[in-house]
Amino acid sequence: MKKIMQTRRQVLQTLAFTGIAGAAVGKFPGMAYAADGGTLKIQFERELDSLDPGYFVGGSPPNDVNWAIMPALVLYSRDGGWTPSPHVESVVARDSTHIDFTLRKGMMWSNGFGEVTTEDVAYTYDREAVSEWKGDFVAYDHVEIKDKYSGTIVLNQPFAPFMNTTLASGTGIIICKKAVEAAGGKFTIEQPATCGPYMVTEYRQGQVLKLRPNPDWNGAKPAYANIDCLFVTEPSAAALAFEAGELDIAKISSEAYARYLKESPANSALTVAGALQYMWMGMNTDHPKLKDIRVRQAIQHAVDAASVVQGAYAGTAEQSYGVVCPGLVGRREKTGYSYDPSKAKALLDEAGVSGLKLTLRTLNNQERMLSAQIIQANLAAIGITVEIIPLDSGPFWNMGQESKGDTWKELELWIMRYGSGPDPYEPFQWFVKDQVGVWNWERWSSDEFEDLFAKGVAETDSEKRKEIYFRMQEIMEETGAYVFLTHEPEVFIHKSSLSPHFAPSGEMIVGAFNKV
Amino acid sequence: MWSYLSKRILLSVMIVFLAILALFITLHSIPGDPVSIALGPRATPEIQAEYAARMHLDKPLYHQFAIFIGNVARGDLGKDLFSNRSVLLILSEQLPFTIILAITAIGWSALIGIPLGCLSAVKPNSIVDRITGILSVGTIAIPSFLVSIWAILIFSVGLKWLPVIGAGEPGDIGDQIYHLILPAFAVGLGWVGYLARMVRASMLEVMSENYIRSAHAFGLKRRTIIFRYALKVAILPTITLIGVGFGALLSGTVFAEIIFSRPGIGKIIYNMVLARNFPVIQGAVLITIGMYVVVTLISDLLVSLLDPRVRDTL
Amino acid sequence: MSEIPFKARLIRLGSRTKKPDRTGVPFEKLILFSRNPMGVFGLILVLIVVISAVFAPIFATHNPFALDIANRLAEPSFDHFFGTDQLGRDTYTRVLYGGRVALQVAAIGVSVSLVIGLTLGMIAGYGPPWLDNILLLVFDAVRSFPTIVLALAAVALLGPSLSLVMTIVIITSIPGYARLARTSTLSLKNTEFILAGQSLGASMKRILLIHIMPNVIGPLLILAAMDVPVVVTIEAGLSFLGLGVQPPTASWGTILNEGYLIIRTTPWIVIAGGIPLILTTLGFTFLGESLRDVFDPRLRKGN
Repeated sequence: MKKIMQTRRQVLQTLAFTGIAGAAVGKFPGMAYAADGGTLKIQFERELDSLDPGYFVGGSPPNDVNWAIMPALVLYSRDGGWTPSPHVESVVARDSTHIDFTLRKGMMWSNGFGEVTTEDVAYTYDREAVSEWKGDFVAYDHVEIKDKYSGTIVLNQPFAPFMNTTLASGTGIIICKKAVEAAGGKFTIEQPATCGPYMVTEYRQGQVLKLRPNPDWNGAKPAYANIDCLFVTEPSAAALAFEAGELDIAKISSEAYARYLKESPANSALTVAGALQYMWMGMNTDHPKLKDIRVRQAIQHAVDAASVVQGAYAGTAEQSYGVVCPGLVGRREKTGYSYDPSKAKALLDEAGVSGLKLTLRTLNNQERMLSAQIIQANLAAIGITVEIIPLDSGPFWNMGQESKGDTWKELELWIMRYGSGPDPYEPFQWFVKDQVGVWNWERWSSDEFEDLFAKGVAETDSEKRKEIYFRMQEIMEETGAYVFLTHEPEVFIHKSSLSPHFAPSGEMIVGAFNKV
Repeated sequence: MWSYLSKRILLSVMIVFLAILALFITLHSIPGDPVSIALGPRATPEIQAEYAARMHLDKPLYHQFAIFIGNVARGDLGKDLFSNRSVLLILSEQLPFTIILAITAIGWSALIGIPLGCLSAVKPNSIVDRITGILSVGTIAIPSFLVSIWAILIFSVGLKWLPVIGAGEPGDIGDQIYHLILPAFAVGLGWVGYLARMVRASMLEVMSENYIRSAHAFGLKRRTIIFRYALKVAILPTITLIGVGFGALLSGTVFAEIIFSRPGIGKIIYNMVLARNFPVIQGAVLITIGMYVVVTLISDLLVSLLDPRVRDTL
Repeated sequence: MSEIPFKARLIRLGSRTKKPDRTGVPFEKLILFSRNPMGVFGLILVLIVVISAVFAPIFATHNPFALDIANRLAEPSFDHFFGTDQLGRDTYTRVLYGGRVALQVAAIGVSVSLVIGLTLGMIAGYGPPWLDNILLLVFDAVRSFPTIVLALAAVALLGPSLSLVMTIVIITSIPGYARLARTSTLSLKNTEFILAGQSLGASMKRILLIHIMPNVIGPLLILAAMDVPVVVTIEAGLSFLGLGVQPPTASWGTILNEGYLIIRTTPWIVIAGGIPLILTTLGFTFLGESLRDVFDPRLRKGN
C-alpha cells in the first residue's frame, strides 16, 4: 500500500495544477485508509426500493440500512442465534407464547417525534400483521402494553422461532407510530423518523447512501463512525473495486472465492456469511406438464448435482441432500435418488412423455446461470428441452406468490435458495400446507409432514429430532418436486482490519462491525 | 436566419411528436392488458388502478394519446413503481452525468482527432498519414465495452492509477475529473480515428477546390490557407457528424456507465430494465429521444451559422 | 464501429454518388482494389471470418454444447486452443459457432434493412414531394431512437431474444439506407435517360426497378459493408449485457460476458471472445472503406 501511495504522490507532483491536486489528494482510493477510522466503504449490490418493513422487497439493502438506523428488539448474533439489541434493556422469551421486553429510556426519534415507546412497538407489529409481510407474523397476536417502555408480545400459538425468523429479521424493525401516521401511513425510501446509532445523511440514487453518527444516540457507539454504502451492482466490478482499494468489503462470486482461496490480495480476509442456505431446483406439481410424478422423478434422476457444485461453484459450495444444512441435526448424507440418466429416460418412457419443453427460471447471477446451463444440458441428455429464463431479484421473488400476480401458475422449473437459522426445524416451515402460494411454490402438502413438523418443534431429544427431520426431507423428496443442489454460501472479501457481522441470509449488520 | 431557425425548431418538435406517437402506438399494439404492459408485472393493484384512472383508459385511443402528450409536456412522466418518486426527478438527477461523459468523450477525441486529420490531409501519403490511417481504423473497430474492460484491467487494477467505480464526490471537481478519465477514454477512443478520417477526407476535398488553388496562386501562405479557409469549410461535415453520431455515442456511454458503475441515464435504464420498473424505462426512452433531437438541432444550427448555403437546402 | 454511426458516413457518400464510369480499362475497379493493401487485408479478414463461421462444424474440435466439468477453465492446449470455460466447454469451438450467430445477425439484419431502406428511399426520392417530406420526417423520427435504449426497453417489455435484437437493429438501420437511396434517386431523377424513359411511357415501377435501382444500389452495398461491424457490435454488446442471445447458444457477446466475470481467474476467454469481434469489424471496415475509395475516385488519397 505505501508503495502505491508514493507513486501517486509522484504523479501528483508532476502535475502543475496544484489546485486540483490539492483538492484531490484526500480522495484518491487507497490513500484513504477507510478501515482505520476514516470512512468505511461497503457495497450494496442492489438498488434501494423501499425501507418500509411492511412493503419492501427485503434482503440487502434495505435490511442493512434499517438495522443501522432503526430500533429493533433483537438482532442476529454472531453464532446465528439472536441477542438483545442496543435499543433494549432486556428481552426475555418468558414462555413459548410470550416475549417480554423493556426498551431503554430516553431514545429519541429524529424529526422531533419524541421517545421510542412501547406504543411504537405495538403499532409496528400490528401494522406488519396486515402488510405484505404478514406471512412472517402468522403466529403474532398482539402487544400487551405494560408501561411506557415495557410490554409483552403475545403469540396466538407456540412458535419458538419467532425471535429468529421474525423479530431479528428485517421485518422486525420498529417504526415510529406518530411519524408514519403523519406521513400518511406509508413511506418508501425515507424513514419518517429514525432512531439508531446511525442516520442517513445523504442518498444519491444509484450512487451512494451515507451513514453518519446520530448525534442524538444515547447508546453504545459502533466501531465505525462513518459508512458510505456504494451501489455497485456488478459483482466483477465490486471485486475489482476492492482490489483497487475503493471498497473495504465486497461480495464476491464463487469463482473469485476459489481464486482468492489460492491467492488473496494483501491485508484482506475472506468471510463466508449465510452458510446456512439451501439451494434446490423446484418443480410446480400443479403444472400440467409436471403433474405426472414419473416426469418429476425422471428429472430428479437426470440432474448431476455434483457437477453443479464443480461447474457453477468452482467446488466451493457443499452439495446438499436436503434442506437441513451442514452441522445441524437431521442433515442427510445422501438423497434417495441418484444421478442415473438411463433410469430417467426409462421413467419418461413409462410416463409416455417425449419431446418435453420446460422453462427454468432463475436469478440472473453468474452461479445460478451456470447451474441452469448444467441442468439444461443434463435434461437435454434425456430428451427434455429447457429454456432458461433469467430474472432480476425483484420479479424473481414474486414468482410463486399468489398475491403478486399470475406467474405462480406458469412456473415450471426454477432454481431457488432459502436461508435458514441455526435450528434444523427452520427450513421446513416454508413447505407446510399454509405456505402453498406463499413460499411453498411446489404446491404440495402432506398430513404426515404437518404432523412431523409440529412434533419436531416440540421435541427435545436430538436422536428423535434427527429421525423426524430425516423423514420430513424424505417426504419432500418423494413428491418428486425437489432436486437438491448445493448449500450456496455468500462470500465476502474485506480488509483484514475489519471484522464484519452478517445476518444468516447475508445482509450486513454494520452497527456490529468491529475493528480487528 | 430566423425563418430557418423557426423552421428547424418546428421540425424538431414534429420529430419528437412522431417518436412519442410511435412509442405510444407500440405500447398499445402489444397484446395484453395495457396497464400491465405499461407498468410491468411488479405494479401493485393500487398503482395499477391509479394509472388506469390517470390515463383514462376507458376513453378512445386518440384521447388517451392527447392526455399522454399533455402529461409529457407538463413534465409528468409518471412515478417510480417502488420509491414513488417522480420519474422526471429521478432521470434529471442522472442526466447530467451522462451529458458530462458524452461531452468529455467528444471533447478529447475532437481535440486529438481533428488535428490528426488535418495533419494527414496536409501531408497526404506521408508516414504520419499512413500511421494515422491504420490507427484510426484500428480504434474504430474495437467495441467500446472491450476498451472499458481492458482499460480497467490495466489502469485500475494493474497500475492502480485510476478508479474503477463511481463518479466521484459531488462538489469535488478534482475527484470527478479523476473518475471521468477512464470512461471518457473508453467511450471516445473510437471517435478519434473517426473524426480524423472525416476531417482528412473533408480537407482533401476542400483543398482540391479551385478557390484554394487560386489562393495559392495569389501567394497566400500555406498555413493561412489551411486555417482560415480550408479548415472552416472542412469542419462543417464534422459538426453534423457529431450531432448525428450523438445517438450512437449514447450506446457507448451506456456500456461505460454499467461497467464503471457510474450514474447516468444508461445505468439507470439498465437497472430499471432488470427490475422491471416500467415507468422509469418509458420516461428514459422519452428523454433520450428528446436529447438526441436537441443535439441534432444544435449541431444543425451551428452548421448553418457557419455555412449560409445550408440554410437553403431545408 | 460500436458508436460510429454508419448513418453519418452516408453524408459523405450521399453527396457524391454518380453513375459509375463506364469508360476505361475492363476490370479497372478490380485492379484499383488490389492495389489497395488495406482493402485486400480487409477482404482476407472477412473471408477468414465468413469461412470459419460457415464451415464451423468442420473447423471445430468439439461439440460447442458438450460440458466437461472435470476439465473446466483449462489453459490453452493442443486439445483446446483457447482453453475451456467454467463448464468445460471448448472456447475455440464456441467462438467459431459464435461467428455463425454474428454473421446470421449481420446477414439478415443488413439485407432486410437494405431492401426496405432502398425501397422507401427510392419512393421518397422519386415520388411526389409531399410523400418525400413525410417519409423524411419518419426517417428522422426513427433515427432519433438511440438503438441501445430502444433495445433495452424492448427487452424489458418482451424479454431477451435474438430475434428481438435483430428487429431493433433492422428498424434503426433502415433510415440510413433510405436516406442514401433517396439522395441518389433525387440526383438521378432529372437525368436525361430517366426523362427519356418517362417520355416513352414507362411505368413508375419499371423506371424504379430497371433504371434507378441498379445505379443507386452501389453506395448502399458499400454502406452495408460498413454497417456489418455496427450490427455485429450491437448484438455483441446486448449479449454482453445478458439481453441478447440466450444460453446455451454461444455468441461472442455472451462469451465476453462470461469471460469478463472471471477475468481475473483467466484472461483467455475474454481474449478469445474479443479477437473475432475485432477481426470482423476491422475486416469489414477496411473492405468497405477501400470499396468506397475504388468506386468514388474523388475521395481517393492524394490530390
